[in-house]
Amino acid sequence: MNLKKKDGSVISGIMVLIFMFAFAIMAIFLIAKYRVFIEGQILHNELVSSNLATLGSKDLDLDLMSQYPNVVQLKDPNLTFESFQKYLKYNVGLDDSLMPIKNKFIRGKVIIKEFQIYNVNSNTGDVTEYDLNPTTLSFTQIEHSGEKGNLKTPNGNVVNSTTIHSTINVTLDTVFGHKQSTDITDDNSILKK
Amino acid sequence: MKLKKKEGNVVDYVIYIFGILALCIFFAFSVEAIKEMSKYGSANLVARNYIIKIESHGYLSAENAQKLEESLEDLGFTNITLSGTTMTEVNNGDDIKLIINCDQPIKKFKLNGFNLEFQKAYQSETISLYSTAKN
Repeated sequence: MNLKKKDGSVISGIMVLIFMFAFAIMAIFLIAKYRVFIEGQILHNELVSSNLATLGSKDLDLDLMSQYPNVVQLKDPNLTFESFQKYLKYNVGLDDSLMPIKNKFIRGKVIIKEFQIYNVNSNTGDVTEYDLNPTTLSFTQIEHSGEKGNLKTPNGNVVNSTTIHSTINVTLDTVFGHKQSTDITDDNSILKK
Repeated sequence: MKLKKKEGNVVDYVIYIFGILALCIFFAFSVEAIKEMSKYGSANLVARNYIIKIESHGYLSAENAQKLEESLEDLGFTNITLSGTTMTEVNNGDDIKLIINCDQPIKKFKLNGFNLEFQKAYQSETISLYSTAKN
């Protein structure tokens, strides 16, 4: 009788410990998941700012705009990509080799997976696409005749005006030394006032 | 026999009470951690809204700076400074910056004997966004 009672106490104690342990692990994973979500949102903001920074007048073809005020295009994909890298480094806090210098959560190099420019000629409806090869850092030019309003970016957004599409890959710290690889992507267009 | 049974019950209750107490502490810690992360995320969202305003105006006006500070204060941030932010109008295409330095209140837990104390502390945060003016 005595023995049975002690067994009961031990079993109850173990059950309580197991329940506490399971709850603690679950809560830690939920917190880590939420932190990755918040960090992803912050990185998305930083990517959007970097995309928008490339759509400034320094990268636009002002000569073309002076001839055809409706046609807003980027003049040189290489210069646009240089601008993108410059602002991405500022916004995310990366060094010249795209390694994090101030970011608390990113582990390892940030990889630019995709960078595409869609130059739209509003007068003709033609779209010139420039696709970056991330290995050689050179652009492939593809002409889409009259495809304005039909052509879609890899994110599925219809190209109606000059657009930048970019995707970066980051490795984020999660919990217990685990890391999670995440793609952050967005499309940003320029609309003339 | 009766006495032993009671002792067993007391041990059970002590285990349960400690277990429930530990769970409550852990739950409170989890809620606080999520609240702090959520506020930090919201502050970044506020910063994103204001970098777009700076892009379109070419600078952060005194009125918008005031609104930005109020938005961050509503989230509980203190000691907000905007030094380094583009506060005077720049030309179209020039670099613009939004640099927010602030303190985020965080709660620290301290076990003082059997008393669990919540202590208010502050964590320095910097939110910076760069872009180009489109004014």
